[in-house]
Amino acid sequence: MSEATGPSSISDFHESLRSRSTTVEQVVSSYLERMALSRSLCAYLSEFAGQSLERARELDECLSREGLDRLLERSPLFGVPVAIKDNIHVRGERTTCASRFLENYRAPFDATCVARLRDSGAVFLGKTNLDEFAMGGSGENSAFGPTAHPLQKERVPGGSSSGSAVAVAADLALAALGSDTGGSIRLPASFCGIAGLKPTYGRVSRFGLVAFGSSLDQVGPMARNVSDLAGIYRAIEGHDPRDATSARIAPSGSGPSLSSEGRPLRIGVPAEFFVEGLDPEVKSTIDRVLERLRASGATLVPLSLPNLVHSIPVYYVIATAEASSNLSRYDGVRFGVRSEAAMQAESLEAFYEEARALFGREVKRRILLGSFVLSAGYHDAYYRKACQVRRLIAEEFTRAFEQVDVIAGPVAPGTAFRRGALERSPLQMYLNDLYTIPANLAGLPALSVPIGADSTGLPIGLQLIGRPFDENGLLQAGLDVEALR
Amino acid sequence: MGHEQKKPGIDREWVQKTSRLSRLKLTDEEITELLPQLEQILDHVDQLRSVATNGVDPFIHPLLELLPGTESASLREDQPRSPEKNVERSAAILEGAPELTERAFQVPQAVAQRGSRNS
Repeated sequence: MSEATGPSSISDFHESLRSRSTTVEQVVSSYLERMALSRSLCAYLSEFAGQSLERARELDECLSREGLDRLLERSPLFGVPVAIKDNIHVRGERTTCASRFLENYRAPFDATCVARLRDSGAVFLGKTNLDEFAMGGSGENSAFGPTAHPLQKERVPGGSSSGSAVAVAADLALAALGSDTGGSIRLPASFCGIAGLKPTYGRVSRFGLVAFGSSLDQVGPMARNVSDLAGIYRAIEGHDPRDATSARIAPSGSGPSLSSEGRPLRIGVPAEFFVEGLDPEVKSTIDRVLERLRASGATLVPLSLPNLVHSIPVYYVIATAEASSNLSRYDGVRFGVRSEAAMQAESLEAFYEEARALFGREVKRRILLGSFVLSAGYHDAYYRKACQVRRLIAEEFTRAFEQVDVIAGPVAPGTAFRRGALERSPLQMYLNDLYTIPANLAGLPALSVPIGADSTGLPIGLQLIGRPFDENGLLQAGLDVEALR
Repeated sequence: MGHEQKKPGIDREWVQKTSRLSRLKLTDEEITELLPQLEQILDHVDQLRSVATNGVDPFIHPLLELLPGTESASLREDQPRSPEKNVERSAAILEGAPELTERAFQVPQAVAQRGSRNS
């Protein structure tokens, strides 16, 4: 007999193991049962039923031999059932990136973040759905079917880490990994009512994450609360020699546990984040939270970051340029599905074109844009110009952080929108990333924390952006927000 | 279809040229759908023209900015490493190939058609 709901947090789960009211196997098998009953949400693209139960039994044996507290010293995520976004490698399992092109691709190695979770004692439940190659903000662009919002099926869950967000929100995993290039962790976290962290660029190794925008991509945790977020984050952070863009800097997680002692929080509130186009219910919910933070001792500092308005054009030049370059590896020669048409091709060019015909619309659109902005005669006007404005945006953040500890704002202009609503207008879809993109452009850590719901019950998230490599301060601010609920 | 002449340069021919550069084959219908979308996105991007950027260095990569002057902001030495690990991995990597000839990736005959080599 399995339980109808999973543990509410990692500490709740460990408490139930400590009191022997459950076992890892029982908990894992109850997740697997709920996953099987919830396939209509399309949260998972593959389920590791056999492997995860086998692993759970091994862990239960360790538990009876050594006791939980000794195990937690070296395996802080002992037994924690986790879902992995399907653009992150788990050795021997499929990595499809929700693309027909990689439908049959199996990862030859573990991503570093996955290996670190494994070493910390986590159990992998499966791989989660996403917008193809992490390109999209709704969870609708998957070749294997759109992910459904867990509360209202006709709404989108947000993307691109749609399946990871839904898995956590619908009790199909205790926590998950996502990746965030322009908001892909924070946006679905906000739409689904969970917490999500995009760490500082370089904090978490990208080794084994399928590359989309190499100067923007970061792997990060998604969980039910900020403490769990911190637990997963601490397991995956830190320098990795196999990723040349991994920062050589001491991990943030070795210090004491989070506490808010001795520090009145200074919260920056940029005028540019609260302009026309922001849903009034989202705005009023954020205003109330900020007011309560002020009442509990925080200082609110009005900011002006005028170059933020250019974030979307800057992002859609840089991200597409990097994507067109990264996706050139999908040539049909070394991996992926080789279609019949490609087999019949009469020239090498035709062979590539037929092989790449398996890409979905959004992926094609972005490759085209990226090829164009990098092409002869346009490179300076588009790519170089965007990189210059990127610096202006980053410098505004640097100046702002001389006055404040964190910057607060919305995650998205509204709550989860209707399926298909933005399908015909890619530009409208891109505009939805307005609030999340700036942190990626500047490389800053940012998190989304649930703060309420609109009148129809759809969740609203608050975004907090932190100083570079100050994940501790950012997570602490997240705990402060959470404590208001 | 009325969008084709609106923005100089952004027309069917432009899409076809860009798709060739991208090694993407597009159907007529796809081009018809993409054209106004790409035009709209590039119109939006054009707002960057109004931003003064004279003398501003391009921001290319966050690590160069976040940890300037440190080891993280520089490339590692190009040192040869033992190939053993790669040889060990190569079997798993080759397993992902659509077609193999012994330990080589195989592509269709068309590529070597002019000669009489067998694949």
